[in-house]
Amino acid sequence: MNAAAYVRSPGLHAVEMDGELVMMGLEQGEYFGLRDVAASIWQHLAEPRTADELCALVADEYDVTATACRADVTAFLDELLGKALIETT
Amino acid sequence: MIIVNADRVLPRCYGLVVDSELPLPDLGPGSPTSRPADVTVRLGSPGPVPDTATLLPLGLWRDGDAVGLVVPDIASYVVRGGREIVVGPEPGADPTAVRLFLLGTVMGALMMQRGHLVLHGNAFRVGDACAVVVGRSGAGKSTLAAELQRRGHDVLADDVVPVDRHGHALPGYPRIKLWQDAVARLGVDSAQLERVAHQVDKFQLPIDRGPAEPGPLPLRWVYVLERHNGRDLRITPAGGMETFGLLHEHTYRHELVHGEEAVRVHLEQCARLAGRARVSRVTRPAATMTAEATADAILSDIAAQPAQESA
Repeated sequence: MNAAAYVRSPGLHAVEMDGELVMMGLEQGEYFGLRDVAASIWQHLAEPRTADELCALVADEYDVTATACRADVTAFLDELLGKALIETT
Repeated sequence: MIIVNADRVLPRCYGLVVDSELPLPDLGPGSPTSRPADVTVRLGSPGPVPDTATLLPLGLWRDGDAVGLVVPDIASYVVRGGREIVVGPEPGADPTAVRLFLLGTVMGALMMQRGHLVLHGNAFRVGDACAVVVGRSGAGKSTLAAELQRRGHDVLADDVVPVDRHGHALPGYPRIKLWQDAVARLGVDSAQLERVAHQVDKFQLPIDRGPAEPGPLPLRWVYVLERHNGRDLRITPAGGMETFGLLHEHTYRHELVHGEEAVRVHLEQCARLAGRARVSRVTRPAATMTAEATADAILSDIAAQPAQESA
């Protein structure tokens, strides 16, 4: 089982605009917007979290089963890792 | 002996008193002031680009609180701490071109250093507030500004619009840069205007603002000029990340938003402005767009969308 914990990369800042969380990468001109579940996961990533913990948090907030959201959560984490917005601890 | 601290006649730009060794007729004759200058412009050699500098596109570099600009055959510039500019013109450089980069990119960088969000566009007055039209170079911003001026909306700043932390746009100096065809369309004889730079068919249209110099005005509307291949002219409000993307894209010399601190400040500036101003896209038909039709659409949108109250 993979127990790696994920956390936001240091030096990233996000601001809220019209309910959407906007952040800018340090690479020139890169910016990202997160809303709904994605924004909520991002908030949880202020502290190191495993994929299991995140699934449990999402399941709790959005009234779905942890198993049902597992694939989406891991895909999202991979995307954030790919963009260097989070790192593994 | 009594030493009198005599007033000096100095021009202003964005409300700042400018003391320049390089004559800056673009800023107008200036007025007597006993206030120490906010910005000094010194003639001299800015020296080589420091080894520690981060090189950015467009001849820009950044090193701590210094931003530099190198324009081949024209001049090198360095601006520090939002107060001091050193200009080193190249031998034989056209003085108009030396001033063009000084009052454009270099003043824009200085206003960023002073903590402003600097937009690439034109600001015009709407009652006690103002609107800014942004767009890429060639989108028709200045032609539209001249049309709005003709209809009695004072143009507050052309090309470089600093917005302070309270969401107020700072008026620049009185001129609109126009291409020759745009000047002709307005019925002005370009022979009477000063060229922006030799070899460039762009002219300065002086603006008569009357005796009262406008102060900072709350920015309530931002319009982004775009074009499409359709036939209709549409104004659509933006939201969330789209708003940020538009404000970032139309930040003057956004290449300077570089490094962790600059990115953080910029994000907060954009978020603050997004909370106070309504940001919309103005999509215009590429084939048939005119400054008149665009001015009509923007002014009726403003009339239909009363200003948000400031937070």
